[in-house]
Amino acid sequence: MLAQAVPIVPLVTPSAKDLLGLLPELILGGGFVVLMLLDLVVPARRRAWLAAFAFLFIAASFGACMWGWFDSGSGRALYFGSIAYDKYAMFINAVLLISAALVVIISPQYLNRRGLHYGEYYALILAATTGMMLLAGAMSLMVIFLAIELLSVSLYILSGFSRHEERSQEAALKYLLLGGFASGFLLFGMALVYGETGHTQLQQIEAALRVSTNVDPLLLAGVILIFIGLAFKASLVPFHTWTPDVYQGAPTSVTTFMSVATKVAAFAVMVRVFTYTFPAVYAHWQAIVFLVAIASMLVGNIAALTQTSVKRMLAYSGIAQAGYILIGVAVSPSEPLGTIGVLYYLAAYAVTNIGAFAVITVMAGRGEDLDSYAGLRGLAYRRPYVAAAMGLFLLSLGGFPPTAGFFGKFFVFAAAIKSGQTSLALWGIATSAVSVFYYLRVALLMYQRPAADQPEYQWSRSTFGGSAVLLATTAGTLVLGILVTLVYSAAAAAQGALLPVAAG
Amino acid sequence: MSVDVASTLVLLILLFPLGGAALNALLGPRLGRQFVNVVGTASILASFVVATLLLANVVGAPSGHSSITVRLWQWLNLGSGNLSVGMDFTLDPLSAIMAMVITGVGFLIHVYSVGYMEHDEGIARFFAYMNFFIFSMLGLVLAGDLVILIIGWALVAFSSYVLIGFWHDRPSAVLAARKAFITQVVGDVAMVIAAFLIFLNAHTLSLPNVFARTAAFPSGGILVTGICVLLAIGAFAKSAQFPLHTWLPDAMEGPTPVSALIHAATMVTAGVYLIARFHPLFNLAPVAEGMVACVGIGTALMAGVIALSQIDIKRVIAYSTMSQIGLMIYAVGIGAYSAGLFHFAMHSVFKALLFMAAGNVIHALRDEQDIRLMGGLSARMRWTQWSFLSGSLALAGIPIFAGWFSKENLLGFGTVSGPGAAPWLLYVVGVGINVLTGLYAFRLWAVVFQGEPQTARVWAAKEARRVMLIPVVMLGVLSLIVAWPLQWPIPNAVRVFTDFLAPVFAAGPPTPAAEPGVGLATVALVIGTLASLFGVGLAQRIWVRGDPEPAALLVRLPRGLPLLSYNKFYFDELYDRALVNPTRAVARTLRRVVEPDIMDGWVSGIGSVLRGLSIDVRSVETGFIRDYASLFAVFAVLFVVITVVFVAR
Repeated sequence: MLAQAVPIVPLVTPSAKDLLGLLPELILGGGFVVLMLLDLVVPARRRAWLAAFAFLFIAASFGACMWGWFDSGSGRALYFGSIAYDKYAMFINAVLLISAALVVIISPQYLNRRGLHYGEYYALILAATTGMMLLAGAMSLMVIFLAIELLSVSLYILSGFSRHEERSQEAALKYLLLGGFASGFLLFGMALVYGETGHTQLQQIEAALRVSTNVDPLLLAGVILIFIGLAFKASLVPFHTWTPDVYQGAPTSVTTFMSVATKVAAFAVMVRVFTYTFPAVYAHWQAIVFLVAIASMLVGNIAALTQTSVKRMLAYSGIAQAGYILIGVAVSPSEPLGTIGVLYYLAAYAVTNIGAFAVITVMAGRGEDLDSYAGLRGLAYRRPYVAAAMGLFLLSLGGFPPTAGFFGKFFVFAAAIKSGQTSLALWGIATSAVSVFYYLRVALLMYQRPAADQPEYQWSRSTFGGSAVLLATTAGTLVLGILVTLVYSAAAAAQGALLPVAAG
Repeated sequence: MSVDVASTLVLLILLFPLGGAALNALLGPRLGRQFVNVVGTASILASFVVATLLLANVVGAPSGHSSITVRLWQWLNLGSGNLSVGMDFTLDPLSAIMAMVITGVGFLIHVYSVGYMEHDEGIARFFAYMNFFIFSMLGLVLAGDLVILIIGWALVAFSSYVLIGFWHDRPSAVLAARKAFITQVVGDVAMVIAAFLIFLNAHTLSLPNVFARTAAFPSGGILVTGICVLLAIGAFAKSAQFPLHTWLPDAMEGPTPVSALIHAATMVTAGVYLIARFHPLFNLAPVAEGMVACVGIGTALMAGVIALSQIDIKRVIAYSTMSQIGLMIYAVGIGAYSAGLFHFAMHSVFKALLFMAAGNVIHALRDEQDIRLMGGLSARMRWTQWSFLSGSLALAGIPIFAGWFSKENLLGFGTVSGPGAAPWLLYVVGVGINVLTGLYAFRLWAVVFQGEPQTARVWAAKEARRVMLIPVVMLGVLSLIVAWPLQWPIPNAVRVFTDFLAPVFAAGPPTPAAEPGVGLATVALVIGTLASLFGVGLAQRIWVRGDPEPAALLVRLPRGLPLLSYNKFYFDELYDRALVNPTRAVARTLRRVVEPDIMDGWVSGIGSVLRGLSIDVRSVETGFIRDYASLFAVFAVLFVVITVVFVAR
């Protein structure tokens, strides 16, 4: 199929409806500007106010999302088909905003203690979240690229936020250079797809692929390259190499945000592009996605076994979890449970992982980050509630019922079995068994008496904000494991109103 | 009863003990003993009040509407025809009675625990576990969905495990806890397999729906028989029935209130409840029913014989529990469901009493449990002695005490119902068990409370404190009067209990056991009562009057019998020889022969292989951007080539 001449669309200004549909992103983007300005007037001692303002913007944006959830109905495209206004985007937005809010709440205490309390931190978090939300709703290859760049640039700065620490600087540089490298692949893939179909908008690409009869190798190359670009963001094997270094180097609060939100946004767009835009060539991209899912589960879990750094362990655990989530993409596009499973898994992963990272953020002392395994030894005897919460998060990551993590895995495995890809589920179950070893090793460590000759890590007292976040994530982990239908039905509704298919 | 009322009641009755457990676990260690005592007991009292309301609602419901299943929320749903699990709870006469007994007797035992555990450091942990047990047990009996039932079933086993091993610095307690848990797991596995079979055929796990679709299970077929046998295995594990019975005596390593609550009054009777709950299936499987009845009566006989010669006060009562539960299992096995449940209710009253009175004795003698070192306590512990006597009379089935009503009622059914060609055969064994029960019950009472003090400790023994005495005395009075208004062992007399439960068991295919006629029932009643009296009289003669002396009697018996009884029919040894030792031997051989040569390449090998792999995988992490980027590029090219060249064709 050759590129066709693109009809010139007359330039029309966006309507008020388009603007309203973008309200959550607009509020957050506006918040970014306002915070940058506020930073000039807020005195250095009062930077916690900035966190409060950031929280307000996030809350307002969340309110707009809730409204959008009901208003969008069965979904419609904004800006001439470039951005989706549907329940799917709103679901992802809600997860992203909740994650951002939790991170903003734990940040002031941590940043103060580490001497990193600069005002642009909150503005950058808002900017990154805006990019992620745009990515969740992106319906055009161009918007996808812009959104990815917006979130990436913000995250590059954030990972190097510890300006006096070499490791943080190194992390930022690695992330920046490799991120740029990955963007090149992504962009090249987009160019190939555009060249083949003559469209940048997903709706039209989907329609073009549906009617075409032969499959051009260049189109396939484009599809795979787009997948590689997104797989980098989701830290899937073999494009994961940056993950442990960057997670360990970045300040812990940034890692908390990055590990969850980036993954949520990357999978959001991956589902929209692959399951709902490229289903016509599913038979061709399936093999690679299948391989990557298994490789991620294996490598992530196996590499995590011998870690002695909590952040690196959680980084590898995140790689493995990404592999499980990818199962939901690898299953046949005609199986709705795959997408529902991805959504449920993302929500479950968000609360659980933020909880786990929040523990090491909130407990971090004045000097070094709380990162080595030795630093957790005996936590249960000094901070019994925090240790119990951490134990719950680890169980959830390992997939024990009745926690959130169990149902995330349950739904994606069920989807794999229902669409006849039992082997994916078996790989998932086998590697989950391996993962229990390193999760429970950390749990065990917390409940071990500290050795007499070894000094205990000097844990901080949790502040009100820190305790609130731990409480909220604990509750979330349990609610997603017990009141399953609450989020499940929302995820099912989101899947039911997913552009471009719903607008079809 | 409206759905709203029912769901509120269910939520409350479950949340009180759960909340109590959470408060005790989270705040108990900080806020101290007073707080724990109040929260621990008040939560169960609140639950008991709710249970009373629940019972009132069930009693007050118009006839034909006494059963209701409420769905608190949908837990998971994978579409129609697929797995769907709701948080379903069933309120009907059966679950109402179970809830009443669990919370009522449970509350008294909690109060008793305040005194019994007053010197123990881990009081917060203890009450957290106890409250959690009540929560699990209520979840089990109220469950309206098989998944919820199994969850309750497993949580109960867990609570039992942590409570048996409560004193975790005692190796024997830890071993006992482990033994109990492993035995429970055997039952759990059987239950889960049964659940799979039920789901495969009925396509639902909701209990009311399963029972409405009994058409899916051909009557007497291999399927329903298999399911019922599996369920029965679960019931046997929980109720300590042959051949899964050896854990119960060892479980006496736990604190005495735990023995009273879990290993006498509530958890061990869950098997009786399970079979009664699944009566629509059991009614379709006569073979399974017959097996259940035989195992029940056999266990009752065996445990009665063992109880005769044990020397640990708690173990005697434990074997008596096993024997009485055997009778209940026998009752549900012959279809006399309400008789079995009535015996359960009465038994929990007098058996909890016996355990707590024994606890008073143990406490007074500073943790002495050997009955040969007791004796002559009646003068020193008068209230405890009278209560213990009341419990023993009830246990032995002496007229107008609770046990008489329930046991004779149960045996009455045995005259007309039973497995196979000679239904009355098991009834005859039952009469024999009556004699045995009188014998061991009054042997215990006589050896502990009568005669001369055997050690100096007895001289120093004092009556227990009020907080431990009042629950005991209350149960002592109840052991006398509780059955009067409920059920008499003669047809057409008082039969409130049976009529109350009738709607539960009237539903479903083949109706349960026929009741004996008035004439037959009266004859059975007289025979049974005489047998009980004979047993008690014999015990009086041997152990109180010493005529003949117990030792002289022992010589006259065939030599094997006392040995068999004292050594508990050698089941522990048998299991050690048949299961534990071979396993150990195999394990030793493996360790000596196989492991160094082969296992290093396998079991520990997998570990080291994974470890090696882990380091290999990590070795990709050089930290150099150039390595990362080239890896990235290589795989990107590889993926594109794979897709374009291989998959595209």
